[in-house]
Amino acid sequence: MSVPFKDVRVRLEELKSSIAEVKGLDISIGYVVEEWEEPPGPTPFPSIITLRKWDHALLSRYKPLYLPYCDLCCLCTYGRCDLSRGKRGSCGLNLSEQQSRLVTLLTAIGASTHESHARELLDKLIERFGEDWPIDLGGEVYVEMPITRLVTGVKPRTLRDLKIVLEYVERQIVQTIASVHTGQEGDWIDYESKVLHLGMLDHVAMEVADVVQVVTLGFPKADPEAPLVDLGIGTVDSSKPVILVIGHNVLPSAAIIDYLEETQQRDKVEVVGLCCTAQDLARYEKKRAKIVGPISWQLRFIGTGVPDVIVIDEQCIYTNIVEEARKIGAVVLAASDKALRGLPDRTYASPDNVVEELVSGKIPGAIILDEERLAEVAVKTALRLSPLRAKYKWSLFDEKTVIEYAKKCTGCRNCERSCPQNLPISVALQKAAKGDVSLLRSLYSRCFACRRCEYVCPVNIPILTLILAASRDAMVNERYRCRAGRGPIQDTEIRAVGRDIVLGTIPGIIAFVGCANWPDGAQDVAEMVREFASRRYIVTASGCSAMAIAMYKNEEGQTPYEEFSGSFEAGGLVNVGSCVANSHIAGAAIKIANIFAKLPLRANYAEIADYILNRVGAVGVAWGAMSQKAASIASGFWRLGVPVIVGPHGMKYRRMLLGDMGNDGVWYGYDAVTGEKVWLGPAPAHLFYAAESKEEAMIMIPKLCMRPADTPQGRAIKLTNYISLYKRFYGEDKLPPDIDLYIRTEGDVPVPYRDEVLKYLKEVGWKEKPVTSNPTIIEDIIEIYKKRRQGGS
Amino acid sequence: MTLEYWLYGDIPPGPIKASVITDIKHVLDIVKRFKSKLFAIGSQITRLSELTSPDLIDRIISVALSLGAWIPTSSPTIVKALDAKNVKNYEIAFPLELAQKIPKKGAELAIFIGYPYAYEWLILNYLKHYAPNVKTLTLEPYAQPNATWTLASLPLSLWYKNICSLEEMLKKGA
Repeated sequence: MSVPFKDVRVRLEELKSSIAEVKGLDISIGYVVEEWEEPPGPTPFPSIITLRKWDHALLSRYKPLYLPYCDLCCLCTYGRCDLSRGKRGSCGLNLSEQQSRLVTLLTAIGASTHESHARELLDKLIERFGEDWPIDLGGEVYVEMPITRLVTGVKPRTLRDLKIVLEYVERQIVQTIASVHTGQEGDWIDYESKVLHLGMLDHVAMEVADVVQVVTLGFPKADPEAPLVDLGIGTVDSSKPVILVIGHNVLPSAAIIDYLEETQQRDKVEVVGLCCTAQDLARYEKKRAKIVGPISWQLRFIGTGVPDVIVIDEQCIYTNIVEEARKIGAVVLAASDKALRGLPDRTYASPDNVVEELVSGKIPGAIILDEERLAEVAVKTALRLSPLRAKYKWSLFDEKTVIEYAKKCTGCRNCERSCPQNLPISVALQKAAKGDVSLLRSLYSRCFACRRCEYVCPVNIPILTLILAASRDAMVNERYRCRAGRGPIQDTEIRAVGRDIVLGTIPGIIAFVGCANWPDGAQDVAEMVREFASRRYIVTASGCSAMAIAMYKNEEGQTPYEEFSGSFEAGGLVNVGSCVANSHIAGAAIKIANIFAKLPLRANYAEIADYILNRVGAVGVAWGAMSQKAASIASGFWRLGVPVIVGPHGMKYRRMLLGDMGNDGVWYGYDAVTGEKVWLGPAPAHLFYAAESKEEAMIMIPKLCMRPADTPQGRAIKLTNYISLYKRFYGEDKLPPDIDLYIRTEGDVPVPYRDEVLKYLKEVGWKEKPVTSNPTIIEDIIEIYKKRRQGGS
Repeated sequence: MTLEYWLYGDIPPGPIKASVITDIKHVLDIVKRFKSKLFAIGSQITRLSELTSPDLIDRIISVALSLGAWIPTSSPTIVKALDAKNVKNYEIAFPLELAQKIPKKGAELAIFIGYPYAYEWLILNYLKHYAPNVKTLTLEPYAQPNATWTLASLPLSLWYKNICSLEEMLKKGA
């Protein structure tokens, strides 16, 4: 295999010593990658252009439907340029190209963030555990790091092997982001290809980040029975000093736990987390950990006054958190140079002095970039500060104060016009002014606590504080059980389900991932999960969505994690872990191609992605997608042939990737064995889709799980789900109008709806279509299959 | 307030901005100019109904029917209401797939009501730039600057009265 760069180069013109004289010495020490049994694949360490052909094949099917957020470009001083209705800017770009350029930029931000996270974990954990630390993901995971193997061709055995992988990702991100500069890329399809490239790099970085922490920090290793942990504001014991950790990098939080254990104070202090740090804290400390909630719970929980010390690491942390902490007399400790927040650097100061400064209020917080020191300061500060700030804990307004504030409302509705959720705040305040706070309380589940309403209130009503005060009981009663992230999927699990997934008899794998920008609150995610797990889809989850799932109990009082098994099986619900653990979901799809179908994995990206697109009925659902990281995660799934559905806020990602159901021509591909050109149908119909409502998403999910390789039995099962959900929402007498596109032969017709479907097919003049069990959208695969049949590589 | 045009939050309007309808009667003048119309009803209509009046949905359907428009909707509530009224000229259509189809459907005027604000904002911007021959009219309670014509942002009670007036005027064949 080729490694595109060298690790070390020593060049000496002349060296004289007492032992010898050397002239013109030039030594390059290349990285030595241990060989593995699989022969080298065609695309090791792909550059931007390597997989362009695959990208163009995908993008010629799934073209962007542009949803410009802004009609102008203001990225250089040629402008601002008006790009409306076909105009081009001074640099020559039009509106479509500008949108694709902006998506490239967003995706680059996301990929860089994961890469930087991975880099920090790798460097620090190598320092602690050594380069020779083995990558051991447990006895049931033999194909470790499938994304890394697929993309780079490296089979990593130790932490050292991951260095070259991250160096590759870093170089490619820099190369790709440079294309966004004025006068570089100029065609939408090549920008979109770069988006896909960045998404793939993002997945490599995520896999490195998660695997490094799993193998070194004792996280569950592919354990379907990873422990259930407490989740919810109501689970926090506010009588103890409380350290709140927020972000995505677990190292500072883990150090706090370690310090508490070492000093035998673990029972004296509550350590609770928000967002992915909480997920990973639960994986680190297992049964004892407490998750407050998803990212949008930040200002809610801080608003309760409960946390004494807030430790921030990186990503998605409310940027004005120092001010928010100050309001409740808490302090902030910043653990990452990516989020310094204007605080003084106390990394090298004596911990006791820093504690003194914090407790006395001399400084509102501090930067401490050394985890052990930070842990000591956090614990000592929490212990001393907690009794001093007892008055803040659960110091929400009483109802009388809420009503008094509500009476100040002038009904201007600036709050509503500023609310990203369009919440009826003004109406709620007017009701509250009359003594009825029920509508105010009802906003709690849909509000994601951004405070935008407060910034525009002309009479300074603390609206968020009123919503929280009205919802005190709801917060106190937030007590749920969430399964700790289990990390990768076992090879044995893949073997057990691979056949049924590819045949379609397991109707799909659905990944509920992403942030907390849900249009109607967390419960929608939980309801969707329950529905599809009950329908025997394989359901996976990660990040804030995995937390949302826990916030819903059935009639027996069980959360979905208690109701469904934690195995990767039909009807299972698998929480893989934090954002970076999304890599295990992509990894599972890759492993189906490798373990079940026995396709070569090593640096064989296009063939595997083509296999997944055509045979593995997987769909990502990022119902509350908000961040740039969510964009890069989605992009990685697209390149791998996995469609992604987002909620209505996801429209703001500037373009969708839609198939044209009305254009028969785009749905042709090939039979990889015969080489014949065949109609594969709109399966999947779209690659990136924003649904307006939960109901629409629930119909779109089974539709996007259909694949050309489905057997008649599998297709019938998938259609049964599609039709039954359609009927549930729109009426028993209705059928989806596009089912004729998905029924290839009468064998595909779902038995429960046979008569009415056949009647409909007759009405629309349906004709039988050929079925292939070897579909591909790239012609090159035909040659590869031929060579393989002839015994070649 | 009634003349306020701008939007929620900080969403920037583009260089091509909607004409703001300040008198609901003007809607009649606009719709009369087009033969082929679609009247897309979104899922948020149920929420608007909760906040204004339970008869809102009936009134909206009545407006759509009076206009003789083709009605695409993805709202289960609207579908049930249309079925209850035995309306036939409707289609269950998801908004993005609808947006993709609108330029091909030959609709001259696309009317929107009941969609999440930013969601509709972006669909209208797609149509504005990529299907400039299709004129758009939004009847939402908040102004949508990417439409060809938009109502002004109004308090819900006033907006509801306007919808009632529109329904009455259309019924009278004004």
